[in-house]
Amino acid sequence: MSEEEQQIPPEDANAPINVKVVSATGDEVFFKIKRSTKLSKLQGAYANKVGKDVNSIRFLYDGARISDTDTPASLDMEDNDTIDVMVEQVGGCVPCSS
Amino acid sequence: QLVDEVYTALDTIQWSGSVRGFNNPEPIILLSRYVSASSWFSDVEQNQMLDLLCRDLLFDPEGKKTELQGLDFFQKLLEGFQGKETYREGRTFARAWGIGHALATGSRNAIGMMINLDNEHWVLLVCDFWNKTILYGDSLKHAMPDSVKEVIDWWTFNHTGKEFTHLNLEVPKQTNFHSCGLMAFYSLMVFLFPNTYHMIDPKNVDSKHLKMLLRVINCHQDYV
Repeated sequence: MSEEEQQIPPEDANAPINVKVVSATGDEVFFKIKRSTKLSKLQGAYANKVGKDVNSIRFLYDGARISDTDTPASLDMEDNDTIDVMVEQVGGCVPCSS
Repeated sequence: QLVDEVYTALDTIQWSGSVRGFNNPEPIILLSRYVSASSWFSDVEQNQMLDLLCRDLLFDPEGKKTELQGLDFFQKLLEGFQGKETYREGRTFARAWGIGHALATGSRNAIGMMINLDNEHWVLLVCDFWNKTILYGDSLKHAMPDSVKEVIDWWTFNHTGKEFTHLNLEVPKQTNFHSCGLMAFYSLMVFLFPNTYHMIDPKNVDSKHLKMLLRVINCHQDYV
């Protein structure tokens, strides 16, 4: 009996991937999204979850800010990749206070 | 004359939409922060200034030896420090590790970054891998906080196996209530381009705010 090679189905280009969103304090929120889904949707969901205005949060992938039109596919993201979250930082300082 | 230049520049831009020519498309209306004494600089302005300085480096023959990183970079190092065992693995720290490796192996000589302390103060950090020194600039003339020192010592040692010497980077003492970000940043400009830029005079800091705004507007205009 001849051996038949097992057919491996091609990877679904739009298969969902797991993405971890990590805040500056180390809190992690996990999302499962399709590779074609705009990350703005994830950003909105994250902002809702943490109770912040989405415009006050910066989402970064590999050090670059994620734009509204970016998708996991356009950023070449892989399963279990991390998105970093930073809130607005300000500084001016009051010399006499410290 | 400088004020007139700023008025003229402001007349030429639309106040809706986003600033162009920078990595992050921030709302144009936020440009007002450059000239408002009541507004502290945020990561928006600090990143825009870093983008301008990156452009200077791009046109400098020796510029590719220096790495400038955005405000998230130190945050990434902090995460790496807190989870040291995973720093060399996986994609999470790939960029930080890659930059550290490039610096340790001589592909780059130094890295400059701005750091925010307690959401109220901007300071400057330069790691000079060539000379094995860490330079710290603070317009309040404070010493480097231990929370910063332990992270940057860990990172530099992790990549080189050597302990770096700590030095101060000159930043004039701040005399107002809002300019630490600009003053520290100017010191980074002077450090990298001592023949092009001059140390900021605390008495004349307002004009530097105007000049920086002009640079940002000019860059924006190049892309409109």
